[in-house]
Amino acid sequence: MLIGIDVGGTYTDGVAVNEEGEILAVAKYPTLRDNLLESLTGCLDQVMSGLSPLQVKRVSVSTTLLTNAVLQDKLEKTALLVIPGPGLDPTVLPFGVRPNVVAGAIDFRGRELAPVQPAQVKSLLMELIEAGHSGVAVAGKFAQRNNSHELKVESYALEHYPGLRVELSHRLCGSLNFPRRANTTYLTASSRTLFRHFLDQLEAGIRTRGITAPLYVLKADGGTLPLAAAARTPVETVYSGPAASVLGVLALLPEAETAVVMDIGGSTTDLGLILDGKPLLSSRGAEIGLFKTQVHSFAVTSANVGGDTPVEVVGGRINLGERRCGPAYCLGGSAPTPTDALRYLGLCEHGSLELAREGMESLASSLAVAPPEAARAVMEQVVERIATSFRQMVQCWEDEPAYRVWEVLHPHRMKRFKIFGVGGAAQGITPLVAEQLEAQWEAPEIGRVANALGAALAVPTFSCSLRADTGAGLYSIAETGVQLPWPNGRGGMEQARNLLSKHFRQRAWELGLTAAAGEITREEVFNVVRDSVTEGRIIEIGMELKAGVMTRVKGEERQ
Amino acid sequence: MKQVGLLFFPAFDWSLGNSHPEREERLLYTRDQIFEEGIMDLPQYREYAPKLAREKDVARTHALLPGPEHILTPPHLVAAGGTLTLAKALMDGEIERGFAMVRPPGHHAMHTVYGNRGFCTINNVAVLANFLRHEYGLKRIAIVDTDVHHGDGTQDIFYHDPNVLYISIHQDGRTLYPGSGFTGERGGPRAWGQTLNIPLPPGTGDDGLLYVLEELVLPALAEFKPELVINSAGQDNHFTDPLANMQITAKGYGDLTRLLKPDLAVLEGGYAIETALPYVNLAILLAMAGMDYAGINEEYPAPVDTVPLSMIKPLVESVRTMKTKAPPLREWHTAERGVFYDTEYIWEKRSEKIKGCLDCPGLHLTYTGSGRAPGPRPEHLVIRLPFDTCPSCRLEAEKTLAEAQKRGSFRTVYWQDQAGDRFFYLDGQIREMKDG
Ligand SMILES: [Zn+2]
Ligand SMILES: [Zn+2]
Repeated sequence: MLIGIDVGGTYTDGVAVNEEGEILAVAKYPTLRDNLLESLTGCLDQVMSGLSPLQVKRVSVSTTLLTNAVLQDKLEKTALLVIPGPGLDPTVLPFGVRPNVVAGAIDFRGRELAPVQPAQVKSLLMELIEAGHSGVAVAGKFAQRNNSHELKVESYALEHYPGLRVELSHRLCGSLNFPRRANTTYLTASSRTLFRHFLDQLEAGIRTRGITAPLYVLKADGGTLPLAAAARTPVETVYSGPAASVLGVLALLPEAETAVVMDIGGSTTDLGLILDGKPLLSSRGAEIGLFKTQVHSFAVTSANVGGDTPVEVVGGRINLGERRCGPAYCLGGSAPTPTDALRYLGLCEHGSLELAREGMESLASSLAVAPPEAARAVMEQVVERIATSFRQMVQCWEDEPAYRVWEVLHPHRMKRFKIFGVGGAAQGITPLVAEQLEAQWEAPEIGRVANALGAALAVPTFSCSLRADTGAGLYSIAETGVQLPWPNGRGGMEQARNLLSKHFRQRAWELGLTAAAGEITREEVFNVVRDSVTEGRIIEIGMELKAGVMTRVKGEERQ
Repeated sequence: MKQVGLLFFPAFDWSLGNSHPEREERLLYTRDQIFEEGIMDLPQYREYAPKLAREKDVARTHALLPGPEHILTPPHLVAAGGTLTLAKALMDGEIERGFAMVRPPGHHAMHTVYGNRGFCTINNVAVLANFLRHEYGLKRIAIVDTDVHHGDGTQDIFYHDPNVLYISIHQDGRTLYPGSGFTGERGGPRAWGQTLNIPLPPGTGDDGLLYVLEELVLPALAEFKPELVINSAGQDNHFTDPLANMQITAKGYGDLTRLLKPDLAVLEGGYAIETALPYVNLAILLAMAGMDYAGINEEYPAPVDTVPLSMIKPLVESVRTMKTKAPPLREWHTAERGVFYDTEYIWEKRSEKIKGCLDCPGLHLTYTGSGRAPGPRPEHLVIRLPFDTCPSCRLEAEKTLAEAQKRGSFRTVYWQDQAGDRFFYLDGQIREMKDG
């Protein structure tokens, strides 16, 4: 039996499912804004009532802890140190916090252009510690090609300030994009203690309930990681809620289906894409508040409209508000909302029909039309907002940059798709959106807990990328920051593959995963030619354990 | 804020040969630098993906002989198409200006094309200019070519076109491929002065280049009043370029771009792929967005022994005071030339007849042939009806076509009607060039 729990803004959803894809229990528990732990354990108790803790094989949770910490500024006081070298003025780069510039420079092939200056680092650290920082995040431009400058800053810091929290960018992520790497490092450094503390409490809470099964945490890329591994990279757990919904839908769809996942919440509608059975990943990385990061995440677009979006009449037209002000009128709120329109039109059954009618009548009188017409006008606007976001999302995917001739000759094109609605008002809104987009649709009852289902069934994910510069005699692994001499010999790509799969297995073991089989997702070789002589090769190769679900939910469960 | 469009197309899966300068590796370090800087995340930039150019987009500019299927390959259509993608974004008001960082390059590709010349097959910039004229009705376009090599292809395409100003700054043709681009090449009689060549001595540095820009290029632009300025942005003037001998730095390229303010820049050559391209491309990008590029430093020490300004000044003076009288207009102007395709070892021989017309740029007839040795026989006829062709030139063109068809003396006749936007090859059958 697998347990999944997703902490959302309003509700914490839970589900218990067995390995054959039969759903055993579902739960909805109000989220306590200031006590995520209590929300999680409360929901768990609801799910487990009537089930034996000994039957549990795995518990996976997705939390908003990190997102909340960033948005509510609850991070630990941490300084960002950057080593930008020559190039763009670092003050214009998109760092989420003020950067402190350290001298030194590395170029794109990992050659040192200018050394780190110990005296400068020393006075800078002293200043920062006096200002009350308990940790530093260090990120150098091209540190993924040569980590020596970051290591020097670290050893210097630890030598003079033992106990200082130090996080280095090359150990966390290695894609090209120095500001994003810096931001990722900063968020990791400033949230790790907080997150660790939370996970410890969570683990204790679950253990006291007699569950001895391993605990997993869901990530933005729709994969899970064991608690201990997740604790090292808390930033990867952002936006795991929307990812959970996409995965939940994946479990509810037949294999290799193409679908738009539409998760309708109170204030926003999240849209995700499943293409031929594979969730679409964002090409750049998650953005959390002011922080653009290198965190792999599903490409999820938010339309600024949900069941509780306030509706008013402005200039003789229906106008949707920009933010939620409370529940729907029919559920005791103060303004009419799309939920009221749906209730009035008989497209959903929540709330008081009487109040919904009152809400629509007030809109109708301002518009000088009949109430049903007003309700339909509201829904037209809602559908239009969602459809616009959907078109932007597809456009964005179709317009993704291409760097190879092959890619231009095989462009991304959206084919026939189905709209899969989940969340509160899904059954009312999905058919309307489907009609507008001329698509088929589905919005089964179980979709209410698709998020928890996704968490329960998610498989582990991770990636491992190797870059070798055989002329320089070096190779590195982007995700772990390992930098090693390239073994002699003329192995080329074959050798790179072997080394990569060795590091891949090693990383799986470090993350606490067993029997992980990776898939090669990218292979690129460049001959390095100088004066007409081939000096070596630059090889870039990536291996991934991709997002997916352990099992699909059985047909009869979907009704 | 209006953004700068960036179209980066490094063609990581295409080369002219394993160790050819035009190989997969060429823009690899440029990618490293601009991606690592996080340029694409800055609000000043917007990245675009290339769309394929259509047959017609190429047909409007080139006669591909003996037929397009022998010449065109997907990489050319992507590189040319990429510049058109940015042009659309510019004309639709999405961006303030744009940089198409594409390969393969184009400025050595001429009006008639038998294959690859100087690493170029399709002239991206010329295709772009003619696309803007057809698609958006632009009347006056200026092309400023700052590649170290003379852009003989672009010059050839617009030599008789009074509505395209072509300015080339390059290393003196006596010292460098392709050996042309002298000050006396000033355009055909109907386009006299609309070609401006400024050959510079090897060793010219930033100060010399900027002097030329301020004293010759900017005034020429001000006089011509183009609706749009395109920069053929070759980067082989850099002091580390292996194929040329100039002394320009990345900052020099930044200054050049800041002063020139091109609406669209298109990458041409530049083969110092580690020591120049990452920095020069970055400098151009920053300058286009009005951002500070002073922090860009090549790892190599800056050049010291540049040609003194005192040597550049008289040269500029002599260009400025060149006699400006156009040659007299005759009924037909003729020109004979041989063209050598270095990459593919093809000789082309061409005779051109341009009608001296007062009402339009003049019907343009080209008799051309190719072979493996100099002086091949002409076997193809290209009939070009320029933008704004007058009725009498059109009549003459139709007569020429009918005659050629009747006599059947040409292997191929290419009908290039820029004014009517109709293009076809006639070689036993009619093959129309399409929009799709
Ligand atoms: Zn060149
Ligand atoms: Zn005429």
